[in-house]
Amino acid sequence: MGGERSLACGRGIGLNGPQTLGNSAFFWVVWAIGLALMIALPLLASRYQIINASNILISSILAMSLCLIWGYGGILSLGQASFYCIGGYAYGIAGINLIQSSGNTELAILAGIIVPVGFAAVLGAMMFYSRLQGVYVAILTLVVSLLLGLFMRQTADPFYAIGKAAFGGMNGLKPAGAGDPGVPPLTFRFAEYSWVFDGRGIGFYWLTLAIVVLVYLGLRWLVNSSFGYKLIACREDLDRTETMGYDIRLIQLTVFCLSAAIAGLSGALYTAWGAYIHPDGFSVAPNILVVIWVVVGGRKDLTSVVISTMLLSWIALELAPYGEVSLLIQGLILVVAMLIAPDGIVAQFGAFIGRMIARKPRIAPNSWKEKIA
Amino acid sequence: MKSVEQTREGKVSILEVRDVRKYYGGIHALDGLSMDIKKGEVHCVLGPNGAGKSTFFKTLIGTERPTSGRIIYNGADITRLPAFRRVGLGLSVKFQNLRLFGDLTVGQNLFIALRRTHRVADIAEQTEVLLSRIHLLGAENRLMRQLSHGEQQRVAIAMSLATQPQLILLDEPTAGLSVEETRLVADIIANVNRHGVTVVVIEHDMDFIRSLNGHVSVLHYGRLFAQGSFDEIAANDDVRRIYLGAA
Amino acid sequence: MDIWGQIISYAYQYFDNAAFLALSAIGLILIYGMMGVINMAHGELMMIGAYTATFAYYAGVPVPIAIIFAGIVTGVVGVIIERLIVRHFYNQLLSSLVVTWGLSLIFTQGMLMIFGPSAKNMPTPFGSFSVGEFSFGIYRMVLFAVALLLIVGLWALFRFSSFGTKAQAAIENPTMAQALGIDTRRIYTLTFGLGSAMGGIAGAMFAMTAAVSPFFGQAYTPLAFITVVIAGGANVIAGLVYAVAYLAGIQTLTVNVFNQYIGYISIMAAAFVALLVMPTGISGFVERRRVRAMQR
Repeated sequence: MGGERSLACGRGIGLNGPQTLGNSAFFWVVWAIGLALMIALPLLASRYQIINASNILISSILAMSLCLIWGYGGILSLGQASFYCIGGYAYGIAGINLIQSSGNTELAILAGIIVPVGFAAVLGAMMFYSRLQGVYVAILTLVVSLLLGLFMRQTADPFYAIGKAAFGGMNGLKPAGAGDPGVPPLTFRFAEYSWVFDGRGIGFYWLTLAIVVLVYLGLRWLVNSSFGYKLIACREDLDRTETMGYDIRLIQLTVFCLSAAIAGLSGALYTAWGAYIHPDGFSVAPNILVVIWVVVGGRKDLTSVVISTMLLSWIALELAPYGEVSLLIQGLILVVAMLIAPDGIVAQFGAFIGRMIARKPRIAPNSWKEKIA
Repeated sequence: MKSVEQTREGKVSILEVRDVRKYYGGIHALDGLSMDIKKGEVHCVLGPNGAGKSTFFKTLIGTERPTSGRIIYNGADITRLPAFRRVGLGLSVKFQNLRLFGDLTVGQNLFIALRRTHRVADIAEQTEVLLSRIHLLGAENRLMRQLSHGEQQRVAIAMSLATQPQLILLDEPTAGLSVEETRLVADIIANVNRHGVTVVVIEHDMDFIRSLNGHVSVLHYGRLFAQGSFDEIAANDDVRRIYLGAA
Repeated sequence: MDIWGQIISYAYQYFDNAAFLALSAIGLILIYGMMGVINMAHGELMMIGAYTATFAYYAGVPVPIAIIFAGIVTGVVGVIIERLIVRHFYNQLLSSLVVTWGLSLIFTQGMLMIFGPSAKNMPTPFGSFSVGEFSFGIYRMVLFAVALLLIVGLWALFRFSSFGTKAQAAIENPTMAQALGIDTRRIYTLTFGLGSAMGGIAGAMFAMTAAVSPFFGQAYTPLAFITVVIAGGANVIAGLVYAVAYLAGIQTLTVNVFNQYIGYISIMAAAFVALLVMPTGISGFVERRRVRAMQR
């Protein structure tokens, strides 16, 4: 009864709801087939392709973090890669220090999530509690990211080290002494059993895929929940949301921190994948790439963003041998996408398919007008 | 209605506005406004265009901070409280330019308005109660921006009722409504007022104000110009003059 | 006596920092204040200006003409960008920001393809003078003079020319301006071109102090963005002057007491403080104070 009623209000239950495209049985069938294909990918693809596929999956987690705050929360962060990198450095530093003593990396992954959250909490509290919005938040997040990059670049001096991990400046994170371990792969231990997921292995690919699925389902549930509605209300009209009694500062800070946690997780996975993290991750190019994935997909829909991230990252990989052309084309794709499909190419295509299947005109939930903050 | 005015003196004030000023650059939207709103009354605020009525509401609800002055609600100074805290204390507003979530459905709009004070399980029932009060039963799944202006106006009023307020600020609740709809709004106001809720209304429609049968304040150039019962105000030559002067 | 040298050194650094901020922000803030667009490709326009000036210089063109030429080229590029792309994103602050950021990527990578990553150099003219044991480059003061010249020029343009009057009308009330027969679209295009040209001139000036590479602009944009954000858009010239004076002071102080990096961090912190006190930027604050004073 309760379920029926809440559907009658046009509200979703669980994973389905008006805040996400694709709520039909047909969608979930296609989704399951897609997932099955991705699980089976190691049977079809070469080892090298699997290694790249793992990285693409990691990127899609990062893209979902921006989709959450920008697409659903209305907060444009141009420095999303900074949380990714902070998470990466935190994982690396904690991992190098703990791998020998504890033999596992659970704490390092936790550090990769918590450190960016702490950072986001401080930055977010300053911004949202002084009620900065829109372009101010966008510029400040970008500038903070660039400043962090500037800082990490000049940490070549051995002075900049935490325990056994040296920041390493332009060379990226490295062990402080000759005998110290490098950035460890993901290592889990339970009683006397231990599992190692090396970034080049198929196990790591499957693990990352599982995390992508969990983050995706978790976010779908979140954006269709009560909190999701508050988030969307904030995106549409901050003042009106506040005059319905919601503390918009807290909502914005919460989603900012959650997004930093997801970005940090993705950065920790990246560092584990490549056993490597470098200050260039704070610079303009990685930050803009995240924005490109989200814009091209359609920032107001999670599924579209994941699809576009996978496609664009794959295109970038194919173009990588040609050098600068890769980023140039990504930039062109962004500008063209903004001109022809402001709600995202994938999302508009998805809405079109949805209409074809439903065979009746329906309004896509992503047809919001841009709100100027 | 002399009786309304006579009993008014002894009543407790729910809202006291003390010398409130709001300057936008050189424009003095509010220029030393003082006013009492008594608990349980229907209070109409009139005034020519640019008299500062909407700014007055915004400083009351907290989306605008007054340049100076104090606002006291139930005896507590709320001048510096953020808007959401005032709403938590029982204030509620319907803005002049509705500000609904146009791309959400009616049901989703009401869900957002109801969620703070209701459990999810109760919201469907509350939605039906509110929709039946504004004669829009069964409209949950319609998109907000596809509603007519009159329907949107009614939903906006319903949303201001949804937060279980003690004091409702309605900025032009009958703008764009038909005669029938206007009568419906007057009924809604009378009904919530009967349950002890104080209602403050900004209006231009004189017939509507008369039908509310409440206390009337006239703003002019950001100050309280005149106040009294509707008949007193209607008979006031100065009030007539400023209206004609503004027109 | 070296006290004088020290004092002059601080003053010199202050004006150097101010010139840096003012030159890199002036075109950006013009476009933001007049059109509400934050042009994320501004640094890349500076880069194009720097390349143009460098090539012109090595082709034998005298330096001042090379600089003007750089301004013209970037101005034309700006007009093309506005016509083709930015036009579609007016009144969409965040979208215009994202789309111009995409442009910046295209420009950087395009230049990288054409000219490669190797840096080009122009000699710094004018040499130096010294006070006590401190030595000062004269060109840095020329930068400050040019910054001042551009600010005064901009002020005069808005104060005295018909373009300035029309532009102000178009900003204050676009519909009314259109009704009065002002071609607001043309005004916007010209404003964008003018802002871009100023970026190009700034880039050309900086080309004589820094290596010119496709990533040239990225050295200037972070501080330029902060300058614009705390200056606000309500009064372009006053906002810029106050913001630059404030930030250059903070920067000079902290760089001397600590180091370059702490200097950047302090600018960031100073920006936060300024925004806390004045959420609409300095110019919004100044504007309110001015109008209020006039009313009294």
